[in-house]
Amino acid sequence: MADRPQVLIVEDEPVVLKVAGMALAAHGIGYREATDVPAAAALLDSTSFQVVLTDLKLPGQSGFEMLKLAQELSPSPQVVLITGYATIDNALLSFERGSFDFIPKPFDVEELVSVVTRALRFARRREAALQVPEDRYFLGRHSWAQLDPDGTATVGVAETIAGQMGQLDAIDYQESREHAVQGQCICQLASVDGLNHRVWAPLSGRIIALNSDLAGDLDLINRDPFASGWLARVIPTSLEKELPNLRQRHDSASS
Amino acid sequence: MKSRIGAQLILAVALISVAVFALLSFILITGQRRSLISQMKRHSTQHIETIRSSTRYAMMHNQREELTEIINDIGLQPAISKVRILNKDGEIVYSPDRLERGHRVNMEAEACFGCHGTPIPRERLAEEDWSRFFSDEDGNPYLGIISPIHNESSCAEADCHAHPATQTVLGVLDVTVSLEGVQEEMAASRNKAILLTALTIFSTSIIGLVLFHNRVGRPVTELALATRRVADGDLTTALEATRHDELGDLQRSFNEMTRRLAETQTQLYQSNKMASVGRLAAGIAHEINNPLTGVLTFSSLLLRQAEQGTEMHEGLETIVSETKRCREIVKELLDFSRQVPPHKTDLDLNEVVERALDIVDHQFTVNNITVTRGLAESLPLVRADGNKMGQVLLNLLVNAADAIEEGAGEVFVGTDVKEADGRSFVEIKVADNGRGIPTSDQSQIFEPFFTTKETGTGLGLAVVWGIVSEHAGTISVSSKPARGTTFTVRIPTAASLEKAGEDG
Repeated sequence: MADRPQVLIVEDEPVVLKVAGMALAAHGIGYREATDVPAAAALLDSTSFQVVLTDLKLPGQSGFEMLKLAQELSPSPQVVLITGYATIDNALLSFERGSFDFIPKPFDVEELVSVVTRALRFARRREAALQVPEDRYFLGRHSWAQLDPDGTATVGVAETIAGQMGQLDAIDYQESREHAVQGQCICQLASVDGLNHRVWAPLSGRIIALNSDLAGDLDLINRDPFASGWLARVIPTSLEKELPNLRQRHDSASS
Repeated sequence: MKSRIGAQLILAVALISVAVFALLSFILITGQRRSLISQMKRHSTQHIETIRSSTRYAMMHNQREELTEIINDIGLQPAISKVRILNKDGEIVYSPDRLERGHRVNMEAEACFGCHGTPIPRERLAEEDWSRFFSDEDGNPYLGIISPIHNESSCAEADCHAHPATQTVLGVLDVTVSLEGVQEEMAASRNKAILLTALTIFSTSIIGLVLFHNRVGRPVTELALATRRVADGDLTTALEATRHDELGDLQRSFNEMTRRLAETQTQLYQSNKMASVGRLAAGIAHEINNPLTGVLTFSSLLLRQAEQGTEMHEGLETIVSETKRCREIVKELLDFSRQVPPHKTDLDLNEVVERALDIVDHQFTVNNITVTRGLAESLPLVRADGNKMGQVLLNLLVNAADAIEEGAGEVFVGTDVKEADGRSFVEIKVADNGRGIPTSDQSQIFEPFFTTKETGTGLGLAVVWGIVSEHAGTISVSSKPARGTTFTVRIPTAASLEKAGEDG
């Protein structure tokens, strides 16, 4: 498996390119490297990749062009954007453009490998995609929020996380400080294979409840992400401003 | 400038005084002259009547010697310069001046014109026409009075038969009175008026100058000096504004202007600094992210290979965790530098306060900190970004908690409505009874990267400051070491912003 390249890394910064390659290699994931868009385009022509891992800032061009290029292919590889810094704008923009996920710099090996692993799994199992309910507001295909009549919102993960992590080990809400911020980490899901999957919150708000059922059966997140596998209930703080960044989906499954 | 305005004022007052006094004096003196003359005329007429009646008897009885005596006596009176009786033909019959007697006067002289102006002389003359004014060669003024002596039956029938009954006018009694006294009195009056005018002008000028100098000149000079100081950049300049007149208003508005200028300057200075610090931070963060990625990934890769429990493993673990700390600092820096325009809605700050208190509730309970709420029952709405205002509250609350050392601490959070400079504000107070901020540090606490905490980037209050100024608000601090610190945030109400918008 490792010999067959699955991931195309597009990065102009030698250090990042090198460590990304090493990190993937350490997990037995085959990859190819490109330092700019034309080189990457040439590789995409000749080889079929499942995932493209691209820096947002490339010489003279942006990672979004890489994303566009990848989307024109069939079957199109999943694109993961490496962003210079974790801003809501970057997160929202990359999801809006249809990327699989984004990884803010600087990252450690786990953070990189977790996302790439999920992307690879997602690319392979796309046919077995979950049915997506229509009453949800989505942050890309990453997480969702459901507005409840009492003014609160329920938050959960979508298909690029659910089912792509393998068996789960632990859930950690530590980073969110009881307050979720749209596009920032609301919790981390640790899988038994030692990876850590960060979930970006679809909405900002005060966390008022966590799903206590998860304590007994964490795998609910994988099996039933849109119902019993929900993550948290929040009181949204800037719904009016944030809702336009999310979108409702009327098609089923992936696109 | 002072002396010129003063001089102009004084000159104007002097000119007006001269004009007013001249007019007044003219009216008064003319009136006085007129009344004096008419008095003189009346006196003279009475005089002439007296002469006539005192001479009547002598005339009746043709006692010429006696008549001469009487006329001579009258002529001795000082006011009377001439007295004579002329007969119908103009011959001076009686006069104290012997040389004059027997001379004929010129009938065409001005004195005779009253009756002899017409071809046939008038025989009766109205009493008011008896008198006339004239001057001699030396210009001395005189009042001449002529009274015709009419024929009476007793005259015609008298034994002397001097006058035939057909003759109507027997002669003329001519008295000349010197007006020199009157003239002198007039001159004295005029001189008095001139003296009075001069005195008035002098005293009003002196009083005016002193008043002007004290009440206008000095404050204006002070203002001018203060303006120059402000222009030179000294914005601490303030005038003593104790007066209650227009200049007092000017002084007060000058002070207000300087105060606001100073405020704006501080704000501008802070904003500029924030902006450059922000740019610097963003630049550094960008550059540092790539090497940090290298360190973080390499160390985490090596960590996997290192044997647990070895020194190598421990060292690599430290590298990984410290690099992650760097990452947090960079993230904070970027959050700070990222100028996201506030998303303002009409907001009840009480709700923001409550929400922030909910968030820190757990931390406060763990640290044994009691929160006292002093929230206003209802607050006017403010135009504000809920998230950003929430961050202000959170940062202030976390600071308050950090300022409290061992033992039970107290934090007070209050809201209120305040009026200042004609605008209304919602005021939020966050007070703690912690260690306080040393006076020397108080001016620096809002500076980026200023921190007294063991851990912390020194951006918390800089962020607070930035958010508050984004909302056209103000933040101030009062603190006593070992007693505690109070932060006061003021955000203008939506209504007062609207009003300001309409006004401006």
